Amino acid sequence: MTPDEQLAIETINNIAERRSSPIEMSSNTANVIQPPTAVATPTVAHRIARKGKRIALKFVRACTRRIFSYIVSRLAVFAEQHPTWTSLKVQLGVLDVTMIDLQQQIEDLGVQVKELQVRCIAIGSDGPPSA
Amino acid sequence: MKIAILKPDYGIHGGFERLLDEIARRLITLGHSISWRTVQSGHLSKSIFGTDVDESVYSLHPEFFRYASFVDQFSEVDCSRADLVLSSQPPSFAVSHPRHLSIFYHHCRIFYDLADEFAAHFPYPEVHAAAVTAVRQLDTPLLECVTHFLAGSNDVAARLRTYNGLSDNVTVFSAGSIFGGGQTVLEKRPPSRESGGEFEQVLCVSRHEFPKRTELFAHAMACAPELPGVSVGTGGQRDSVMAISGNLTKTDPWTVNSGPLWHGRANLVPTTPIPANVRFLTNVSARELDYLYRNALCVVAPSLKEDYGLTAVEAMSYGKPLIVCSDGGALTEFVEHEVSGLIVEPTGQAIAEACRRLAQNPDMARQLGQAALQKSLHYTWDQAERQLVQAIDRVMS
Repeated sequence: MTPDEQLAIETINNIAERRSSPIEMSSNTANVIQPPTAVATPTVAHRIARKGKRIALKFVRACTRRIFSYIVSRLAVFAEQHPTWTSLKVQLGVLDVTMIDLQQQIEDLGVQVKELQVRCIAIGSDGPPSA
Repeated sequence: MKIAILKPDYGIHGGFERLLDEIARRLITLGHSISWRTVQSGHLSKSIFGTDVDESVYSLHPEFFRYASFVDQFSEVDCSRADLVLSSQPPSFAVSHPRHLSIFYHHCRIFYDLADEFAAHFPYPEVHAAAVTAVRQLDTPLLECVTHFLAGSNDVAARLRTYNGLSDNVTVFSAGSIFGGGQTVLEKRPPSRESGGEFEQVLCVSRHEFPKRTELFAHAMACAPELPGVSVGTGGQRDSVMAISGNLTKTDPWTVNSGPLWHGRANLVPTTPIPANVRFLTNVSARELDYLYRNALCVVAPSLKEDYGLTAVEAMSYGKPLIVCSDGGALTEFVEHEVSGLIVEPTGQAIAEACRRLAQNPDMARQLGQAALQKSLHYTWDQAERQLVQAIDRVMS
């Protein structure tokens, strides 16, 4: 294998890993996070945008138990990294867990949640984006 | 609803683009507003997910880096004001939206079902192996975020199951004929010559690209020089196919192995005149294409592992027998051998023999064409629209 081929493979792997790995959340820029590849069926996706002190996380598919566990683990990490946050606003495409479930699970991980708002995106209750 | 349709823009307007146009037209008729969100291939960056790619590295596998750049750019497309997004060709499914319907006709196939065929003649097989792994690593979490898939055929649905473990949210979409404004051609066309009687040509309507394998059509026409043949289509391999057609006049085509003709994917330049019995046409008007279909003996669709086969549906709606290859993927779903067409080995010789068989047996050609016509009635846009509406309902519920 030539050095160029080796470099190409390294570059390809680097691109795939950058896309697949969670990106450290910055306090003033929007980030896209991806679940780690080690997580089986990481159906959640995940655009995280910071607006002032409020963080919005959007998860775009039905919240299965496994995905829910993933969400909880990610929230726990974020909360540990950013203890000054005053609220987390979590939007789930289809919510089959309650806010209390979510908060309880995070606290079970040893993370104190100061305020957690959970909102279900659903046509009729929240209104469509075009409304 | 506001529906955003996402699509990579390759600067061509082929069969799939016409299919999307018809879907958009029907959605508008149903009262939805449509916006198109495209990423142009000419505007792709060589900084991908924050990784700068040197030109020397890029050139070792431009297909991968172009694809990864598409993923990067589609990930950044903001469709938050849309009520629903409808992604199409890969990797437009990289868009993030809670209500995501994918009109899914294929993966980026050289990294999936055509990976081995591609690697066999790719100069850097280890680089391609890394690219295959990387693309699947990129695609998997994105595909898992799609709310529902309308797979272009049973073959495509099987690929989603095999490569991504997706099946619960996958249903099959059977598009109708797209030629003639999406209406059944049978209802509009003027009286045609009967199949198998007087005819003007064997027809092949296909882009000249790697998996389309139009080299086999050129080879078949070289093997049967008494049969006039017309190829309609553009594509990156057109010059090579024309060169192969010309080169085959210098040898006995019956002794030529078809495999290397299309496996090689060499960028040949035509130097020898093409045979007198073959014409390669591009930019054919709808009226001209209608004429060609009406006066065809049969339609050859030589593709390898085709996703669906829009041309096949068109040909059947004209009552023309199809000749497809045994490794033609979804094309073989359309054809019942010796009932509605002929399924042959993927060689120029076998296709030539099938064409001759129809030319010499007008009654057989007529019967196969009639069966094909009956089969085509199962592929209507009204049915496709129902499948589309049901899928949208599932996404929105």
